Amino acid sequence: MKIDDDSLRRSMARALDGDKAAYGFVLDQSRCWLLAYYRRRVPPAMIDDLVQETLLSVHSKRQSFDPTRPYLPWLAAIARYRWVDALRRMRDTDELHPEEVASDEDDTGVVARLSLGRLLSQLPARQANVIVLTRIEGHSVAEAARICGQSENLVKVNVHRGLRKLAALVESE
Amino acid sequence: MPNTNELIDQLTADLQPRRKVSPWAGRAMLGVVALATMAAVVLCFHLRADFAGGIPHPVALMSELVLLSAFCAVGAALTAMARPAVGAARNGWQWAVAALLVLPVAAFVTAVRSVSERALMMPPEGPACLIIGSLASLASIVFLTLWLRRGAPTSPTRAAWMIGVTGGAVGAIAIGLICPIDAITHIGTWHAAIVLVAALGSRLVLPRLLRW
Repeated sequence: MKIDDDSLRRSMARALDGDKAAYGFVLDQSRCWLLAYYRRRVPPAMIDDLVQETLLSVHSKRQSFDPTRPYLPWLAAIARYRWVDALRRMRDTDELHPEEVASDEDDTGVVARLSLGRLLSQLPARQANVIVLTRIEGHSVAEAARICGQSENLVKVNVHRGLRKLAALVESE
Repeated sequence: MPNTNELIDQLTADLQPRRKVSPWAGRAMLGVVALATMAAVVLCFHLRADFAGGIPHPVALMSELVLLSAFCAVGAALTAMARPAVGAARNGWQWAVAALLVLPVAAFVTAVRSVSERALMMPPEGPACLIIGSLASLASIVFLTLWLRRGAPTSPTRAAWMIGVTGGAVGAIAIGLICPIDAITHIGTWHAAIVLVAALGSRLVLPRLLRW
């Protein structure tokens, strides 16, 4: 289904005046757009949470929407902000929860990896490798250390630094 | 968390009309706060004689205008940050901040070749300007922080730097209206330091207040 920015813009303008039906339409369409957006960027188990967090941000910051401008660039800016926030949270998590990584039956993790490839290519290889191993492929820190020949502490440091740099790269784009 | 359909239903049911964030209203209010700050400083310490007489010293006037242009450019970009949008490049303010470097660079060059001018870089006058100017920058910094929290700045760190530069510029302009010293070595060191101190302080304190 194609999302029509102009009807979203007009609906959001009405929503700012309190039109609940228009607002329901905007949130529903936003959900579809956000699902596609995050599917290319984060592991599958994080998608629903990020979509909901972004919808909450849309709700709490709706007064910052300019009804004379397109809706989707505004939504994209909020989605990117939440994505950077998620990257920071990932950085602050020492160990990976198994349910947060892609499973073999689901190709969304692969898509996330491919889409992150451009950003990961801007990191030093030692950082990019351990991020892919621990955050996308789901290896434990010990396994990642064995695969890439780094100590466990170094893996943790490189994941931390790499995710911090990744968040800065996304934010600066 | 509820499922996304339930969340959408809840948010829709909670919807209330809300006043839109307007960058132009923010700029107007910032202008009022800045003018009030300058008026308060002038009332407390008296306007420089050459400014009061309508024949300002060229160095003092040029410094005030450089600071004013930075205040306008950074303030305008900052208020625009309340309304996020991917693809909206707003980098003009960086050039205005770069232009501020004219002041310390000119101070340094002058100090290298003139001992008497170099003496004006040293205390006792300088710290008083720095302290009063930094205090004068607080009103704009507090206002901009509160105002921007209503919006959705997507880079809180950058916003914090910009708030500091804008508030610091107000403090430096205000101090320039009352400080009797015309030497570029003094202005480029101590008045410019007000912007630096305000920017660093804002960078340290404000990002956590601007996150959402």
